[in-house]
Amino acid sequence: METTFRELFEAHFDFVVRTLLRLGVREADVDDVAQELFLAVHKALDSWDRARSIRPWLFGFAHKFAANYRRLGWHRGRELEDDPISARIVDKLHARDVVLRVLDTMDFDQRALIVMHDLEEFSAVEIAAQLNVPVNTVYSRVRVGRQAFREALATLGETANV
Amino acid sequence: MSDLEPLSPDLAKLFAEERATHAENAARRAAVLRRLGTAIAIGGAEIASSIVSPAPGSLGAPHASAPPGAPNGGTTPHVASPAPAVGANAVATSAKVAIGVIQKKILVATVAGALGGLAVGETHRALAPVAPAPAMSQHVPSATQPALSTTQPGAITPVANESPSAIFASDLPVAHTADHPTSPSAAASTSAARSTLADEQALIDRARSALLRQRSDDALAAANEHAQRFPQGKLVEDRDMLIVQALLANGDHKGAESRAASFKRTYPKSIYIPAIERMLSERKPSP
Repeated sequence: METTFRELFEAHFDFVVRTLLRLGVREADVDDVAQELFLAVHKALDSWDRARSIRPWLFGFAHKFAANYRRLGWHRGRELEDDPISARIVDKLHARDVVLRVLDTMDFDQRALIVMHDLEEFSAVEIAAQLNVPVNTVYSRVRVGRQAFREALATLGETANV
Repeated sequence: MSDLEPLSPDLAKLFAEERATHAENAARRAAVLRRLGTAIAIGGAEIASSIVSPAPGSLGAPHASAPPGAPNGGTTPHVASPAPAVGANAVATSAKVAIGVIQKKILVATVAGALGGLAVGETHRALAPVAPAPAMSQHVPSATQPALSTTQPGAITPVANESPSAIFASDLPVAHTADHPTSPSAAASTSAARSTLADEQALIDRARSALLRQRSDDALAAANEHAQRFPQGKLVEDRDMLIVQALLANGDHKGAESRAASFKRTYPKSIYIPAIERMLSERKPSP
């Protein structure tokens, strides 16, 4: 079991960290959240259904921990948001900052769906299994999520630059 | 069934660029694995020994590859020390390290909300001797159990409700750190300090978890008790921060402002100041 856990940790740590970041956990806190997440994974390892892909399963943990992290509402938005958003700042932002900031403005579940489908490229079938909804529902939610993402991106004044 | 149309080229490009920024981060991974080894040590000795000690095979590599300046490297020494026979020096070092760790971790504890409880738990893990304590194994799983709900099929749905995880620092084995067998001389010199700190921490945890449950009166009561019992305590900064938060939660903006002003005078370099200012401005009553 230890070996399995360590292999799992090694293989999926980076995935977990980028997922937590994409779900709104701040860079400064992500190590701590990831640590607690893997602690929970370690306890739950026996219940992992090995017939299913592991990443959607781990995504469930990331979703839960990111939701808890957000629950306190301590970190609202990213530091740059303390400043008025100007096109000049946005121009200087890395694609990652743009994406994370746009995601920050989205509904949490829409955000999770975009992260799974468009950033992590889970198959719609995997997502449907994870969410326990029909595949067509995944498609329509992704469509809505993309629309929301695009609108938020436009609000950020970034459309012309991507 | 209509398939989903592919991403438009502009979004595809943006997402590809975003993906490229999440490069592999071996140092971060190694640091977390080390800390995880300590955490799991509390829950089960058999796993800890295989994780903490550099095991043969590829998985031992991260330990060796961590650069000296890796994040959280400060917690490393006592983690890496051999599990059995914690001597007087090691205990003293642990205690010293723990104080530093507490300063650092308290931020996380405050910031991360429900997760905060676990983070505070880590300060106590740091306080605890490395030798795994069998008694602890009964407590840690219960504290982390709620997270297991994500393993159920269709996990996202309950998760989306953001149901309280009920992980609070007070659930963690704070008091049990004192139960560890240590060498008698070391225990004599450190146990008093340790229990004082544990008492302090317990009050702070109580205040914090009351705040999380929106019981600001209880939070204030715990903070005031801390002020009475530990006027010169090690966690006064955290207490004063919690008082500002509790006053705000109570709708006492004026009181919070005045406490915040004295907080800034007392701790001009506090890491909490930006958060306090943000909270005050967010909750400013409309004129």
